[in-house]
Amino acid sequence: MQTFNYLRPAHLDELCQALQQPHAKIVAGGTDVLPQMHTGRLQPALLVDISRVSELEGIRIHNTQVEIGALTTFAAIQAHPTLRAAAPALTQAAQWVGAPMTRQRATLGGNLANASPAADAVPPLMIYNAEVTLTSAKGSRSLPLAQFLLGPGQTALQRGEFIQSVRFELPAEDLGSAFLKIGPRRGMTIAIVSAAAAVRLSPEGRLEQVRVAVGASAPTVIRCPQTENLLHGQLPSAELWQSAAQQIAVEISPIDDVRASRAYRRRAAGVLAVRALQAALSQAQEAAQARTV
Amino acid sequence: MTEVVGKIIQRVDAVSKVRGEALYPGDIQMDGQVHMKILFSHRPHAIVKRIDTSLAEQMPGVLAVLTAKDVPVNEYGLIVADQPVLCGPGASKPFTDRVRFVGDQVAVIVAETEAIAAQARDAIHVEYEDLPIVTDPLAAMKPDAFLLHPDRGSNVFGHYRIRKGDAEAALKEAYVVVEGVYDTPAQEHVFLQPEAGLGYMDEEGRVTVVVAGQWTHEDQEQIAHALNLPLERVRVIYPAIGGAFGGREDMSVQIVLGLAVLRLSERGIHRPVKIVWTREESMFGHHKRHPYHIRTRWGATREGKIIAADVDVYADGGAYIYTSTKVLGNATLMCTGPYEIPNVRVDSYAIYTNSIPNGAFRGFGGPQGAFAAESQMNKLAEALGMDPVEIRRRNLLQEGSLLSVGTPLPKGVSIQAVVEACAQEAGWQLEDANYVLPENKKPVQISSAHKKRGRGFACAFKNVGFSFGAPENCWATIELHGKDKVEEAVLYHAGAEVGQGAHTVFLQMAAEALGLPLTRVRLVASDTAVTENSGSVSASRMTFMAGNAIRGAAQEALQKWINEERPARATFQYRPPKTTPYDPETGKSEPNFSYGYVAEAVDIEVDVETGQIRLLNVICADDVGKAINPRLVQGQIEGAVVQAAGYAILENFIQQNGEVITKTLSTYLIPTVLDIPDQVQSVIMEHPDPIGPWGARGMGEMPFLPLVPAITAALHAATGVWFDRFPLTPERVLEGLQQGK
Ligand SMILES: Cc1cc2nc3c(=O)[nH]c(=O)nc-3n(C[C@H](O)[C@H](O)[C@H](O)COP(=O)(O)OP(=O)(O)OC[C@H]3O[C@@H](n4cnc5c(N)ncnc54)[C@H](O)[C@@H]3O)c2cc1C
Repeated sequence: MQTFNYLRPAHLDELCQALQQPHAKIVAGGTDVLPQMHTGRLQPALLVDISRVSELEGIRIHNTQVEIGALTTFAAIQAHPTLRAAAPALTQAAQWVGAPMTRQRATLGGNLANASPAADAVPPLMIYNAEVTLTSAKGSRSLPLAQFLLGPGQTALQRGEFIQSVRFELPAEDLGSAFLKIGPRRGMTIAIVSAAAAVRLSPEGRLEQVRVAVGASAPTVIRCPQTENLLHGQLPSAELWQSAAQQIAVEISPIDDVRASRAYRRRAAGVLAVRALQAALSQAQEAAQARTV
Repeated sequence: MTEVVGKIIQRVDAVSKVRGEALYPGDIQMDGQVHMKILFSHRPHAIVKRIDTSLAEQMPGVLAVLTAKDVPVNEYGLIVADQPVLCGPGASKPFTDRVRFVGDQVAVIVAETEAIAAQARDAIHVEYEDLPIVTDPLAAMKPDAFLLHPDRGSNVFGHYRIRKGDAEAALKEAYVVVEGVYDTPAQEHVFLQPEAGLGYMDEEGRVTVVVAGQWTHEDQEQIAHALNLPLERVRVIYPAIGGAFGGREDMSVQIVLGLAVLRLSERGIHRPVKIVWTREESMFGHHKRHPYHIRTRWGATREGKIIAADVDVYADGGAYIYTSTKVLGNATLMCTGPYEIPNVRVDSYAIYTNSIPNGAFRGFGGPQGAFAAESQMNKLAEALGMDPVEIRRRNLLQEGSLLSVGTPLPKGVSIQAVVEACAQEAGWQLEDANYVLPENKKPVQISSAHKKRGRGFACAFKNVGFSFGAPENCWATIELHGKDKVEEAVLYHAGAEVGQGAHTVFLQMAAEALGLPLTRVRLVASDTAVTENSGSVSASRMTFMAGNAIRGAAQEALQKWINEERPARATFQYRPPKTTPYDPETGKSEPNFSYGYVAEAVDIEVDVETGQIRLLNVICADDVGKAINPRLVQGQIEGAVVQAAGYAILENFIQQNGEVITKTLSTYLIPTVLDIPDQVQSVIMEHPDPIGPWGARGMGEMPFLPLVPAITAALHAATGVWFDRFPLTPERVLEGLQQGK
């Protein structure tokens, strides 16, 4: 059993204060923190429970700006109608997190701060070019997600800082997007590999605004710019998809672990990313058709 | 016509379990209880040179630290006492100072709180001298291999031979010969409730252990043996049991709890001792299903008649024998399937390694044997261009046909009917007296280019009850209370309710035998102080054995009732027909007194680009003789299929150099509701067993057996590639598909 101090601030300013204390460890939904404490891997001296800081909750949409509070659960994200319509990759990723019980507790902020290369929320947020708002007693700053995630378990969070929210521009209607995941099993599973993709179709039927992010295949979730460049401006074809899959395999740097080998990840990442692109594409096509009708 | 037997009756333990009122060992709190922790070796192979417990003993709140020197008779084992209760120096038996796997127990600590006990455990200093680690059973067989048990002279602790006809000669004459090398994985039971228990001195001065097990009287014997106490000084009680599947057949916390009670009482401390294992302790602390390596050649005629089977079977026994020799006995019989084969050679071996001991797990050698046998059968069908059902039909055991061990099966052989029922349900049809699966009955392929579907078929037989001459019997006592008519009947029975519904069917069978409504029968269960030996809940035997014992007791009690005895009390011991062990040279034997028969057809879908498998539909035809409670039978079929599905596609218990890699449920993955077959159709058949109670056969294990080979057959039907090794993880499937191309 561990002993630790425990603080539960009710407001942002109290939270800022609490985090001034040395060795403060934030807990939100606790779905990462508690298992780590159970195994003894994490032995915090002070737990700061942010679950009552209401300013950190909720999904707000102003015009095309989406802001998701750090405390928002995956259950809430999954159920949000606007996100489902305009940012389906995020909805799909939310649906994949753990099981229904997990999603009731697990928060977006926790998923990002935990910085797992397999974190499900990250690939979709990467293709939506999301930024993270970090706050401390000194003020707030914003970072693109790719600059926030530094390595497995490592983030740009500084002492006293916390994630306040995640922001991104709501994708235009004609940008299709999708998230896919392969795990060792179908439910309650950590990704062997995951992928999110977004794409738009030009009036000539060419791929535009191609974005691909792959999870569990590098020290952090990564965007695959070379693959994106390779696809940009091209007409979709079987050969094109094949070379995209090959390019993905080159761009990632997976490892062997208990869930799968590096070799499997290379193959599966290509397959999955291409399937995500195809799903995004057919969504974009539907949007295009809807417009012409 | 039966009144209660054969009816769907709500389980008698349903309400208490659903409401959380049923008490499992971990839930029981006793006044003044103290807490125990175990120091496990965490080393695969070493000599314990020295154990320094002084720091631990000085900690405030620590009541006792016990090591090898404190164990009166420092050995135990269900079949052979080859395992120390506590490993370390100071015991009289040689080589007791060795640890042979990571879950060997080195010391037990009793303290006021669990936390103090854990702290004290961590303060014990053990000096080890590491020994070479032996993990490959085939290497362990070699004459120069390092011996785990030097006193036993060899790492091979079990060997059977079957010699029927001349397999080598017949193979030369065969029209086709199919060769296969099969590897099956270790599997963890993952019962819901990790090991837990309480020990105390009862009011009659008995060392009493409240625990979840599978055989109260065997636990009692093992505790008494190690503590050097007469049997009647030891009492074992089972409260609610959170699953077992064979995983509670061997000792976990039983002996050490008894030991602590005994030693504390000698020091004048009379307080109950409690222990609850963590999931991780459970994962490395109890045995697993054996990995098997099977090499085999089968030969058949052009007409698909099998004429020879030649098999070598290697079972990784792990560090201690547990039930390995018995499991090997089953696999030796079942590795040639439910077929009549005139020429058979089998050599089978069970071998010590420094892996976690392997032992009983639902199917008990049957699944490993069936995987090899059914895969061979499906490959023979392919080689001959025959239908897999048709080729089986031409070879299945019939009434009077001779097993590989040279004797016929007991009467009531129904595998033919079971195979046909399953096949018909799955779309097979007789055309010109041959079974075929018409094109329009095959799984409908979906339009996606990377998803392929296939259907596979397999069947199996499995013994009911202890085999090969093991003493087999079961007791029941019935007491009838009342004056003119029976007001209440009390059944005393030791049989364990491990979640399978045993107690419900005991009551149903007692009510039926007594001609009473169910509400008038009460059960007193699983306490060695008041119930007689029932044998274990294993080998699909408990309904069969208990039913016969209950019938006998009921008859005698009713007779005494007529003779006006009040209460009328009768105790009856049922003994089934005798079985005999393998002849050491030829294997000739009468292995079993009863069997259950099963067949399965499985539809799967495989993603050929990612290797992921989805189980679409399982049809399971199972001859249970008589479904005492059809809903419980269905539950067992569905449960066995789900557990076998995990074994087939997911469960991957990884040990490297004696260390467990998959110690948690986030790395050792069992199926979730999204991973199990979309549908399981139970076809419950009732061909009575002539000696079964109301015709019942055992059935708890049978549906487990054919699933894996049926899945690999379906995968072959979908992709044209055979898989001789599982679990069928996406990675393994993809690799196989690439190599197969
Ligand atoms: C059964 C189970 C299944 C799971 N399945 C999945 C899955 O499928 N996919 C997946 O991606 N994850 C999964 N997870 C992991 C976990 O649920 C997610 O990472 C979740 O989003 C974490 O959120 P939380 O609120 O529970 O975080 P917590 O456990 O409370 O915190 C996680 C980390 O984030 C920090 N933190 C939390 N909030 C903030 C904040 N606002 N600012 C700064 N730091 C913060 C904490 O200090 C800690 O380091 C699973 C976990 C469990 C237990």
